[in-house]
Amino acid sequence: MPAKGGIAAHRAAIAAVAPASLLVVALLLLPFLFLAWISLQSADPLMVEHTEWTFRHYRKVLTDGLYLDALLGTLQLGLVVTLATLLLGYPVAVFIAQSGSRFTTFAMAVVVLPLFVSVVVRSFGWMVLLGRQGTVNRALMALGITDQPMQLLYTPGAVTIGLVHILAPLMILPIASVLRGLDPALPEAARNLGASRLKVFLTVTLPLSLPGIAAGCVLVLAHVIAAFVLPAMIGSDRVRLTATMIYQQVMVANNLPLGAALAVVMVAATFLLIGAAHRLSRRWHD
Amino acid sequence: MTPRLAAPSPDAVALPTRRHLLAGGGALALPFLGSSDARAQGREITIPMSGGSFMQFVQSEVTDTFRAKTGIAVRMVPGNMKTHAMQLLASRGRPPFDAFLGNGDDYVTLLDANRMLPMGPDRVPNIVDIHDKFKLQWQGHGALFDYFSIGLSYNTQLLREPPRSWREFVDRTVRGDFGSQVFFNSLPGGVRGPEVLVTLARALTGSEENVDAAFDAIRRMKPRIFKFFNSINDPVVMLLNGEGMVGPGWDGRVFVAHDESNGRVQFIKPSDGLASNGPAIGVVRGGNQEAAYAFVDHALSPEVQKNFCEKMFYGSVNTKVVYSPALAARLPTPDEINVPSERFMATNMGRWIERWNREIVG
Repeated sequence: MPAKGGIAAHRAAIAAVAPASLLVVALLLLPFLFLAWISLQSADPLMVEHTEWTFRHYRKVLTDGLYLDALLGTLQLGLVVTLATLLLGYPVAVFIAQSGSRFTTFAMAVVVLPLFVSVVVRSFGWMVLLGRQGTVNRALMALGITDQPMQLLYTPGAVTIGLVHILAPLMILPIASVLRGLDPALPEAARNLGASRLKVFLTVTLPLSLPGIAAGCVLVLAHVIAAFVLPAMIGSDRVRLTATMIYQQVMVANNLPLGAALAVVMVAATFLLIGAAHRLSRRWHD
Repeated sequence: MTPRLAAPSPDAVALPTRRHLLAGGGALALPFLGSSDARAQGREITIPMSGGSFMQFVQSEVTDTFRAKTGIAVRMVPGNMKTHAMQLLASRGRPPFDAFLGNGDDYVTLLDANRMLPMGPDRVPNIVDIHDKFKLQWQGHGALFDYFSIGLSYNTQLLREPPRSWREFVDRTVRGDFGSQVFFNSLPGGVRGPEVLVTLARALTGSEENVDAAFDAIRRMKPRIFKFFNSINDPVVMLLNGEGMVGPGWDGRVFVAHDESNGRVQFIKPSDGLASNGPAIGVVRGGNQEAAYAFVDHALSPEVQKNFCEKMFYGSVNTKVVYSPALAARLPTPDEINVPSERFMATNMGRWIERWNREIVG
């Protein structure tokens, strides 16, 4: 039988997480269950009074190359952007957390401030930079790399660059937070025992920063998979993304059940991917 | 006995009580609540609205003048038109809107769900002056409020010899006359892609139902199209920043950009027709019906139509409107435009989107 103090602590913990849990249930779980219910209806329950249960929409999403391509394309974009933000963001996080430089506050501000600017405004910024008469094209022509403007805007590359820029803070901040909490004695001890800087990084710093990396990857991946505004503004219709297809089905084709099925499959695929990454990281950690 | 309260110290910070917070929260939430006392008493009606300059001019030329004339206030709820229509469809009991102003495909759905009331001349006298093109398809239950026209727009500095018809636009795009600086409506992007598709079909084959020809034309143009745009501002933005040379554009928006840029962009009325449409307006069943009928009649009156269209640079649906000479010279007349069947487009949209994603995207 647990001690009286233990029960009190247990109750206090439940009370502490209860509001957040209620919020998640009310704003996430219940709507998701409603979405799942709609995805199993033969027609939009808002428009048709009597609908029937069906797996038709899931069959379509999971067997039609069009929707599978969109799903794979979305996950592929998610992985590329996540990897790019990790590779670019990790050194920045190390600098912020461990360099002790007087520029760390400035670096932190540079990382955080863009979060206060809307995605639309930042997309316009990329339009100015990547346009035919934009800074990048002018620089390329001035350097003699090309003699006429290149099509940089409205390409899959533009979407990747834009997403990496927008989502980099979500990778940098969790990693920096974990690195900041790292006991400096650990890498120091490894160095004292003769390990090279690279070995200290690979065997001490990197493994201990895995929780930050995992959190950053989940945040970035989730945002890429749901990205809609930036790809629409600076991307191309030629990149098939699931979020775009959901919008098309719900807002244009009036096919709510198919849109709901796409959304459920996308959420499931995301969780599967995150679960697989979590297992891999645990195995590596162990 | 009433307890005596200690006098507050002059240095003390007056913290809000729970009652204050609730009252403040209620006051803040009031404008967002679905109904109000004034609405219940018939002194206010609620209508859905898109936003931007359209909302601004509806307010100055339609709702403010309606209030001055009748004393009835009009509350506009800005947001996504599709969401507004879904809200109305999903509502039980008193509907969230008294009059509806929104996209034609949603209007078809609302008609089928028996949400809209008849708009005969007895309740809406101005309906008799509305051009047939803008009311026949609504079967006596609605009309377009105004109409825009999509023709061809181009950058006058990049292109000296613009195409004069859709057919010429297709042929010269395929030939490479415009390089790869052509833009085109994304069919599922919510930018009137279906209207352009059926207009292209009509221009190429004489029938708007022959969309195969339009899909084929877009497929052939695809290597030269750098952007299938999905914002109605995109054509003007892309023309002004030099990204685009030519592509479909909205008349009113191009006129404004033309005037503000010293003629850097220009609009062409294709000789084989313009793709036109506009928001449909009607009275919602179960709302504040009397006031809504009066509002719709006011919105369709020649005076209001003229003032709104002179500001917005869109066409008037009322045949009695006489534009200023400057606007009359620019606006496509009802005889020059093609208003496609909303039911035809709404019925086929799902199939067209799939075809678009298979044949055009990727």
